[in-house]
Amino acid sequence: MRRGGALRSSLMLIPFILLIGFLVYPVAIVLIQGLLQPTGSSFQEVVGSSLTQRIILFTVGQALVSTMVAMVLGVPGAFVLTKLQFRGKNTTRALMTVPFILPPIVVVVGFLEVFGPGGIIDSILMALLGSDTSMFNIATGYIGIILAHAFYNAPLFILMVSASLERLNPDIEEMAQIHGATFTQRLRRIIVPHIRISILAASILTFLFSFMSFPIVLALGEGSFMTIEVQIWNAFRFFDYGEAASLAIIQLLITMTLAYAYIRTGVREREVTGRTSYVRTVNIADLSTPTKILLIVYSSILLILLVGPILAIIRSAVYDPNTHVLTLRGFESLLNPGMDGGLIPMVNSLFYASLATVFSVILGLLLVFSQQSKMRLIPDLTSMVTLLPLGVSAITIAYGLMIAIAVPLGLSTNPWPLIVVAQTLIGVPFSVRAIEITRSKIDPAILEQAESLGASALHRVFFVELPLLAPGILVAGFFSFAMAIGEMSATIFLARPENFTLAIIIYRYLSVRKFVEAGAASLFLVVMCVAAFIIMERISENGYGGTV
Amino acid sequence: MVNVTIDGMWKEFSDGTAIGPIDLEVRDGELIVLLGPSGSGKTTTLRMVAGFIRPDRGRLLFDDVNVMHVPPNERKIGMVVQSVALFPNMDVFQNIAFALEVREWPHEKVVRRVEELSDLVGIRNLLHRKITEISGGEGQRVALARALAHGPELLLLDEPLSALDPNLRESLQMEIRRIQKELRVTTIYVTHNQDEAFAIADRIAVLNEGVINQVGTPSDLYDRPLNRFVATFLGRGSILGGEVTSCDDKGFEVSFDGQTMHLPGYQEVGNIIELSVKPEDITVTRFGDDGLEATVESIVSQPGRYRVQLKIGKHSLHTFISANTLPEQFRPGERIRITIDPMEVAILADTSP
Ligand SMILES: Nc1ncnc2c1ncn2[C@@H]1O[C@H](COP(=O)(O)OP(=O)(O)OP(=O)(O)O)[C@@H](O)[C@H]1O
Ligand SMILES: [Mg+2]
Repeated sequence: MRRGGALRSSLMLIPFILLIGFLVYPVAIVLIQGLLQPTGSSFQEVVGSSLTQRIILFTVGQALVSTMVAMVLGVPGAFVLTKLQFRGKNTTRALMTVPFILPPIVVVVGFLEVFGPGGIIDSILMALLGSDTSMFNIATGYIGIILAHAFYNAPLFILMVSASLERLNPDIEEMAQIHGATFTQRLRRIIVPHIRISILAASILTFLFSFMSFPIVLALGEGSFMTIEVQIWNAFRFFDYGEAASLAIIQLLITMTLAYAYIRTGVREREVTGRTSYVRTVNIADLSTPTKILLIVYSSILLILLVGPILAIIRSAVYDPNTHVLTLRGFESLLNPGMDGGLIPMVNSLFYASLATVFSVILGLLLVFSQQSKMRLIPDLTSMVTLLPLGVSAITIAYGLMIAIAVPLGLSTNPWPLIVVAQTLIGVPFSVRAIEITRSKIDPAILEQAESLGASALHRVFFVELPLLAPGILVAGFFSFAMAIGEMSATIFLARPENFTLAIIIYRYLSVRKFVEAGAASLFLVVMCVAAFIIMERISENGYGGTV
Repeated sequence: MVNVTIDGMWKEFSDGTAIGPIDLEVRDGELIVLLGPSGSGKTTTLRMVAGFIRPDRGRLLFDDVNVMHVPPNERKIGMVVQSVALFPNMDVFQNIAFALEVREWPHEKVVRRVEELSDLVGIRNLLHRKITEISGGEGQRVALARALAHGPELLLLDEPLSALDPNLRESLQMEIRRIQKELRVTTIYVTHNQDEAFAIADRIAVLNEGVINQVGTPSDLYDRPLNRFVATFLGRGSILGGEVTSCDDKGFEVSFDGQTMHLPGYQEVGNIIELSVKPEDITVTRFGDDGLEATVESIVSQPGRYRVQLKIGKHSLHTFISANTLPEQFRPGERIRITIDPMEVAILADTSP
């Protein structure tokens, strides 16, 4: 027993050492260099410069607007999903997680295809009005950035707020109604106070997402929109390490504060919400005509925004907007092993993502085990380091890995191991979450049973706990894989040309207007991610897995 | 307050479960109990009266005005449900004041009214507690005060006490009855508990499989059940079925499984009738040859008494014997004799099963 305990504690130490070595230490180096020994601009110069102020203002502003838009688009959906009875409701709910696992750069391709110049809507308008010049484009620029952020986060609002609505005992609403409250009074006095916390939590996550968003701003902003994240990358490319580090510090302060606020809301939510009650639903047929029309308009908007870009990727893979012809050139290029071809990036993508998946699942498992530890502080500490990657932007992680590890170790000429490290770190919070969900569903009596039957700690872990956790481990794996294969921010920061992944070459194709090539590579990534999603759903269906 | 007429109200759920048609008259100021087993449609009926479920057919009149198309918040109803459903984001005071706040009463009036109600239901000292800081029984009192605050014309109570322990339940029953009589508010009280119904009701409506079987005062239903269901569910009685073999001006004779019994009244010879016999009207003797012969099926000890299950031919009966009797005399399989008080036997009018 004693030996098992020692083994367990040393196993528990591994993830801490790794996270400290590959995350805390590099970020600390960034901070120290930025503040104490800047090469290039100093912290004061950066903070004082009007450019920085404009960038900060824009970053915060676009994140706020993105949050508002995602909220406005998502909250009604939460009501539809909880209160309305319709066929395919569970499927709809499951599909809401799809955007989340799609690579941002692929979403950019989809957005351009639907909303961009020469895109589907533009083509229809041109055909209708008999015009031969492009007349519609909301994919690029400010609106495009906001909409792409909403693409990711409106579903988040839908899922989080509907989960909260489901916990509102329907009797409570009815008691308000029978005692005289009109619809608006019920909304104001009962429903909004109830879902407030979930809205706040979803808002913080959306703000964080938009605040740290990199590929979307880079690709849809077409170089004319700068967020802190984009500017860190620029500064680094132009060797102004002082500016890069200073911006990273500012960003870190803001994101850490928000991440902390998010954790706090989560705690409070668990305190105030009761059991899940069954919801009383309304049949679509029983709605009034104006409500039905409103519902149709709303679902159409959501459908075009959420499903449109995903489906449009298929068109983008075979239709060349430059020459207006259908072509398989994109796929030829994807299989081309040469300099400009997609084969090497494809192999890179699969290789890095597979390794990152294995590592993040192992780390996730170890973290979940140490979260169960009965030692004081360990569980809290574990939750903290687990969520750390959520509060540190991908660019900052990559930047830290570059200056703290790649440069001293001479890895900068071929830094592929660091790409794997970065992709692993980004996957860890999700794999911990997936495994944790499965673990919480295991009946503790089973484990006690194993213990009382005299199983050693090691035996118990390998023959009892791990098999029970298998579904969670699989979900964690596929989720991490989807996140890793689409990762672009950290990867582009670290990669040399021979390390390019599909996500990176999609971005490069887009910037030289090679749209079909970008489309074909995107289609490949979508297929990988959707396949991962379907497998996760299959595993979760039997009630053991789950991600959100 | 208000006279409620439920007229042919009927609802079919999408899965085919049908409730109704319900016909019921609730008189002004009366407390009527809707009594029925689980799943009989009590909650559905109440929710149709409240307006949460739209019936497929039928009418609902409040003092001869059809309120079918009046939304729930305009029906002047107060309601308490089993889950209590107090507003979690408000304290006790705010819960009670809710109906007044949404009606935009001036603040001083609200305060006065809430204090008056909290005195009525005995929770004056809890007004500023959070609802997570009060007990189940106190929660029910708050829910009652909330339901009464705006002076509703009709009070609907759906198993308000079923989550409470028996002692608390009994004292709250008495209080609800006192308050209801004091305010004279027309009340429909739903329960599946016969004792509760007897304790509180002016009249009881017995609901079974979505239909009202019988309406009457507790003693009406107890002494003169109309059918097998009311007799067994309410009086916990046993049913004997037999054929009328003779009839004269002193009464008639009914025979079952070769034994006969004399009863007062008139019945056509040859009729097949059903009798409801309550446990307390059966006397058991070990010896003699009075009454009917029966076999002991089982005997179970209960506080202060034994419950004896008997069989006469194919009919089952049950009765109680006092704990002072020697139970060894009534071992299973033992043949004994029973007499049934003929004045207390109810002849069921409706013999459809
Ligand atoms: N929304 C619904 N859809 C389908 N069937 C329903 C619905 N609501 C109730 N029922 C069915 O109608 C019947 C009556 O239900 P109701 O809730 O009115 O019973 P009840 O008498 O209140 O029972 P209980 O004592 O258990 O509360 C039940 O068979 C129930 O399953
Ligand atoms: Mg009920």
